[in-house]
Amino acid sequence: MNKWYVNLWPHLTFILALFIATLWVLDQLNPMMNFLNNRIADSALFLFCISSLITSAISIWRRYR
Amino acid sequence: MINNKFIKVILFDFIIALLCFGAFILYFYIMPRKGDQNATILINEAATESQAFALPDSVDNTNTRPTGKKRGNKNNPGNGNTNTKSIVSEKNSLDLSSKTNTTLESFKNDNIQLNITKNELGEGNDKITYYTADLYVTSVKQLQTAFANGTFGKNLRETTVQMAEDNDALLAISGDSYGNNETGIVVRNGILYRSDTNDAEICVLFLDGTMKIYTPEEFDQKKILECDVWQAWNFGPSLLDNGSVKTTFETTSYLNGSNPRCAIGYVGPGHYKFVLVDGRNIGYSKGATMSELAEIMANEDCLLAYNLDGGKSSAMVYQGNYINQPVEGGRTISDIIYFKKEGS
Repeated sequence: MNKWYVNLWPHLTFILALFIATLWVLDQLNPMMNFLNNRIADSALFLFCISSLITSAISIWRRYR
Repeated sequence: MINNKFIKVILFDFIIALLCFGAFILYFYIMPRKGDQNATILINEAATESQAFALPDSVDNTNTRPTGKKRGNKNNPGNGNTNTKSIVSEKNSLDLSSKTNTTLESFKNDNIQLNITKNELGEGNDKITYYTADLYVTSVKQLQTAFANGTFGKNLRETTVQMAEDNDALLAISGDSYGNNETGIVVRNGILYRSDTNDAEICVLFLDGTMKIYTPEEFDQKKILECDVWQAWNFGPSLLDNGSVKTTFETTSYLNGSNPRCAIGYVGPGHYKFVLVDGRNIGYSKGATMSELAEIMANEDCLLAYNLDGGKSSAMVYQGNYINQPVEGGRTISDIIYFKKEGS
């Protein structure tokens, strides 16, 4: 399980988490700008969920294989 | 022990996240693009006559009612506070008894009566300078709005002066910056451009000259849009409740700092006030918090008042020249509210 596409998921999760966290902080400061209420933020959140699921699954699989 | 490779990989991910954020900002807040041009006409100009109001006899009749009292108009909405992002109003944060005012401009024709005054409060670092445009119109259709480049869209921007010149405006003020968002109702000059609402309160000016401010929960779109809506702005918060400063404002503490402000006030059908508070210039004007702006609007005898886009966007233009001193010369914005010299 050392293929590149397996190792990619934690990085994607990390990048998406940073991206969404930044938007969340900005949205708290200035909700009028709608940093979170748009389709890119929605898509990023969905991708983050998928990426987190896969990262977690790989991590759990590695532990119990 | 953390090795160098780990730090490099994390740094690389961090840079990728930063690039993603940069691309997001570029796409959503910088790249100009036209919006959906399939607008709905709410008011048939030919079939619908707006109500005619009489202009007052003289220019100097701005203080028709005593100040500081709760003024009643029970037909106006309750402006409930249901949003969790609200801040508590600071009562009596301004000493309005020390106010000095100077009349800058006066104008009257058959359709409009306008009086612009410069007002100064306090001294030294606490000084606040604001401008009031007191307007009477014979028809609410004289209160017009315009988009940057004359087009509804996102991130399309022009300065207030440019838009005022494009539309031959006597007086223009900065609007609600609808173009910064993808959501929020947009009705301009009786045409519905965008119908979805967001968390912000909605200010509606009807063709009969009345103004109402709704929370998103109160806003029954189907019912309200059937009632001859002439303009609808989506920014806020609402500042007054039947002439009294509200107890809470639907905004965040970050947005509540002392800043340049712009607000529209409703005194009665055909009588409106535009207040522009300058800021970020200590010694000239520090700016105003929401509470301070609300107190100013109450002092101006408004029944309802609604905060518009502030900060560097705040601008008031009369006959093509800035009345106020915008921060760092101002900036380009997406829309204005204006009045034509000649009747429209």
